[in-house]
Amino acid sequence: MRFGKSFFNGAVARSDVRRYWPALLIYFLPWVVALPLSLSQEQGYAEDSGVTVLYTLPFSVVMTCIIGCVLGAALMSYLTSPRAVQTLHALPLKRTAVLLTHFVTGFAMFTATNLLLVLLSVFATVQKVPWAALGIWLGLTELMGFFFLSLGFLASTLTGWLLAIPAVYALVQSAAAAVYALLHGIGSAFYYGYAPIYDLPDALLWLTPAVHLCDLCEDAVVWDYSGVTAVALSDRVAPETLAAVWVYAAVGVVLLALSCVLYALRRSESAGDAVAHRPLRPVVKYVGALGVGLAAGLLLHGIFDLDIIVAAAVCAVIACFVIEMLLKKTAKVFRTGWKSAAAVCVAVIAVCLCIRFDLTGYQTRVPAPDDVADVQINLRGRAGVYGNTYTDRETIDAALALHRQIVADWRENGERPAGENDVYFFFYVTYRLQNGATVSREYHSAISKGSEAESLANALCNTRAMQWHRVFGDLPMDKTPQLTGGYLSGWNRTTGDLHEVSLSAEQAQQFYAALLEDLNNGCFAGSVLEDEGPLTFDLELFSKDENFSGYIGYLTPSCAATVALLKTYGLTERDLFSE
Amino acid sequence: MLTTKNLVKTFEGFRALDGATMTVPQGAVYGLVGPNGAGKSTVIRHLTGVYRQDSGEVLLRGAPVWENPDAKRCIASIGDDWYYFPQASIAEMASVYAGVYPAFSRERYEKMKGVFPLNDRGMIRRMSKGMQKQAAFWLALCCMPEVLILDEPVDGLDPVMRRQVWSLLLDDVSQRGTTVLVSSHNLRELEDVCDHVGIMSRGKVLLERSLSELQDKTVKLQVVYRGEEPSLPPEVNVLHRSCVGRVHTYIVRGDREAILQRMAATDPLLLEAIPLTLEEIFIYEMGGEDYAVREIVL
Repeated sequence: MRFGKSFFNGAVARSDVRRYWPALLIYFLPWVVALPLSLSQEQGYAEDSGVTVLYTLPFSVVMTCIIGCVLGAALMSYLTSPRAVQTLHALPLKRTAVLLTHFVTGFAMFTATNLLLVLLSVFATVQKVPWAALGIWLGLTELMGFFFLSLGFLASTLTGWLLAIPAVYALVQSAAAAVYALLHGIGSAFYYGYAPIYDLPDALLWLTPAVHLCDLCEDAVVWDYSGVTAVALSDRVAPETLAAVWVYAAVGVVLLALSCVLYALRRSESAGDAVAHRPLRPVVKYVGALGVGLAAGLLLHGIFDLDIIVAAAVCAVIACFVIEMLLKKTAKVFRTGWKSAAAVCVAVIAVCLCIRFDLTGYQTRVPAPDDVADVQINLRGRAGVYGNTYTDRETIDAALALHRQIVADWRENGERPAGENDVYFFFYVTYRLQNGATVSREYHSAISKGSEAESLANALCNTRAMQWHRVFGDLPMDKTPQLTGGYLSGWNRTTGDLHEVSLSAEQAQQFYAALLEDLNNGCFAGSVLEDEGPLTFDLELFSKDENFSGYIGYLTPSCAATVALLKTYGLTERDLFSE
Repeated sequence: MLTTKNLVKTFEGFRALDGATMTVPQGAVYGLVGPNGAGKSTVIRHLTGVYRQDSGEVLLRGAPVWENPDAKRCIASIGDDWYYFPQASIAEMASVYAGVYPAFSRERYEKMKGVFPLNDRGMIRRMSKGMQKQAAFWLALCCMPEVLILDEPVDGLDPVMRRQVWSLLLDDVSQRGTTVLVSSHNLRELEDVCDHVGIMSRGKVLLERSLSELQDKTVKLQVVYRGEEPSLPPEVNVLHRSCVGRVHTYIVRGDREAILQRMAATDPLLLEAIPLTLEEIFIYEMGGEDYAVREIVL
C-alpha cells in the first residue's frame, strides 16, 4: 500500500487524521444530543425508541450536508495555498492518489464517528436496543454522507479560495432552483398571463439534493394501519426514501470520479484563484453577471419600482466588474473589463427587450381547439367558482373563448386598473395538448359588467360540466350513485344561522334527484360578477365506496325541486332567501 | 540526467518560460542563476512536478517528471518558501516523508539529530525561519534523493549553519553521487560549490557550462600601454571595457591562450589575465541581455 502504484497513501491519511479530526466535533456533538442523549431521556415512556431514531433522519440530511462541506474544504484546503500545493504536489504521488487518499480518510473518519454514535446510542437505550432502526440510520447516513462528501470534494476542486468552497458547495446544490426562480421572476415581471408553477418540478427537486433528501426523510417512517390505531414501524423505511438515497450515493460515485478528473486537470498555480479552471472563468463571469443582473434588477424593480431593464443592465454591469475583480484578484479592472461589462449590458438589455416585446408570442398564444385534450380551470370572481379538469368539448371551447377574449382585451387596452363597474377576477387555465405538452396561463384582470369577457366567463362557469362539478364535486356524471346517506350544512351569511341536516340513504337519493332536476333545468347557473345567494350549502353524499363533496352557492327560488325538499327538512323561505 | 527541452509556461498571458532548455549532468552541482523574474523558480517547479508545462519536456533520465511518481521518488526539493503542515513537528513531517519516499532513512534521521540543534518534537511553526530551513534540509537529506533541487536554499541560515549545510550536501554528492540543482542569487557562495552553471534570463537559459569552462571562455585582461590605447584586433570579442589611468581592463569572450596571443600583438607594456568570478561572468553576460548595472545619479 505504501509505495506501489496504489490510490491510497497511509502516511498522508494518518497526517489527515491527526490534523482534521477536530472538524468532526461539529458533527459529533449535535448528534450526541440528538441521538444517544435523546434516547436516554425517553426510555421510560417511549413505546418504540427505534421510531425516535428514524425521526432523526431529516437532521441527518442537515448534518451530513454540513460535514460534507466542512470535511471536503478541510481535507482539500491545501489547494488554496500556493505554498502548500507546491509541497503536496512535489511529493511522489499521483494526483488521483492524493485526492482519493483524502476522500477515503475523510469518509473513514465520518464512518468512525457514526459508529461511535451508534455505540453510544446502544448504551443509552438500556431497555430495548432499536438495532434495526440504528442500522437503517447508519446505512442511510453513510450513503448520504458519501454523496455530500463527494460534493464537498467537487466544490473544492473547482475553486482555489477557501471561503469560496462553501459558496460553490451551496451554489451547486441550489443553481437549478435559483435559475428556475429567476425565470419565474422574469416571467411574472414581463409576461401578461404568466402562470407560475409554485412547486419545483421533480427534475429540479433532484438537483437540490439537501431539500429533496430532507423532504424524503421526513416521510421516511412507514406506518402500519392494520390495527385500531396507526403504528409507526421502526424496522423499515419508506421505499422511495431508500431508493432516492441510493440514487444520490450512486451520483456521489460519479461526482467523485468527476472530482478526480478535475483535480488532475487543475493547475497548481490556481491556488488562491476564485475559479481554479481557466475554461470556467468566462462562463462564471458572463453567466454570473447576467444572472445576478437580472435577479438584482427584478429585486430593485419589485422594491423601488425602478424600470426593470435599466435596473437589470446597471446591476449586470456592476456584477460583471465585481466578478472580474474576484477572478483577477485586483480592483483595477475598469480599464480592461469595460468591454466585457458592455457586452453583458447589451446582452441583458437584449434579453429584456426580447421578453418585453414577446418575440416568442407567449402572451398572445391561445391553443387551437383541436389541439386541446383537456383543460384545467380555476375561475374566481365575486363568488367562489372553483374549477377542475374537464375533457368535454363545451368547457374546453368556453375556456378557449374566454382566453381569446382576455388576450384581445389586453391587446386593445393593455393591463388597465379596475373602474367603478369592474370586478377583479382570477382565471387560471392549463391546457393539456394532444401532443402531451401543456400550456398554462394565469390572469388577474379587471372585468366590466356587461362586457364580452363577462358573458364568456359566465358561459364558462355555467357549462354543464362546471355546474355539475360545483354541485356534486367528483360524483361521476354518467351513472346514478347508490347513496348510503348524506350531510347538508348551510350557512346564511346575512343572519349567521347555521342549518345542519343529516340525510338517510333514502333522503340522500331524493336530494340527489332534486339537485339533478334543477341542474338539468339550468337553475344553478351563476355569474362570476354576482354574489352568491345568502344561504350556501356544503353537501356531502356518501356511497358504499366513497364520499363526494359538493357545494350549492346559487340557490334561487327557481330551483324548485331542491327548495321544496329543503323546506321538508324544516328550512323556511326566510331561511333560504332573505338578505 | 535532469533535462528540460523548449519549456514554455504562461501565466495569465505572461510568458514566464520561453523555450527554456537545460541539462543537469549526473552528479553535478548545478547553479541556476539569473535576474529576478528570469524564471528560475518556475523551472524548478516544473522539475519537481508541481507545474505542468504548456509545451516542451521535463525529463529525468528520459522519463517525464509530471505525474510520474517513479521519477519523483528520486527527487527531493526545498522550495524558497518551505511548507510544513500546521501543528506538525519535524518528527511528524518525517513520518509523512517516510510514507511517500521509499528510500527515506531513519538511520540518517537519527544521525542528523546531532547536526541540527532542533527539537524534533516541537511544532515547526514555532521555530525561527532559519530553524525551519534547517528542518527542511534535515528531512530532504533523509529522503536519500538522487536529485536534490534547492531554491534559495541557505537563505535565512547563519554563516556557521550555511557551511554546515553545504558540507552535508557536498558529502552527499561525493559519497552518493547526488545531483544537486541550486538556484541562488548568492553567486560568491555558488562559485564555491557549483561545478556547472546555467544563466537564465526572460524565461530562457542563455548559457550553461561547467564553471571551469565558463571561466576559461571568458577572460578578464588588465593591460597597460606605453602611449595611446591602440585599436584591438577585430577577432577579440570584448564584452566590457573600462580604464583607470593607464590601466585598461577588458572582459573578453574566447579562448584564454588565443586571446593572450592576439593581445600580445598590440605591444602592451603589461598584459595580465585574471580569472573571472561567477558574479562578474553573470554581470557581463547579462549586460549583453540589456541587464547591466546602470550608473544613476540621484
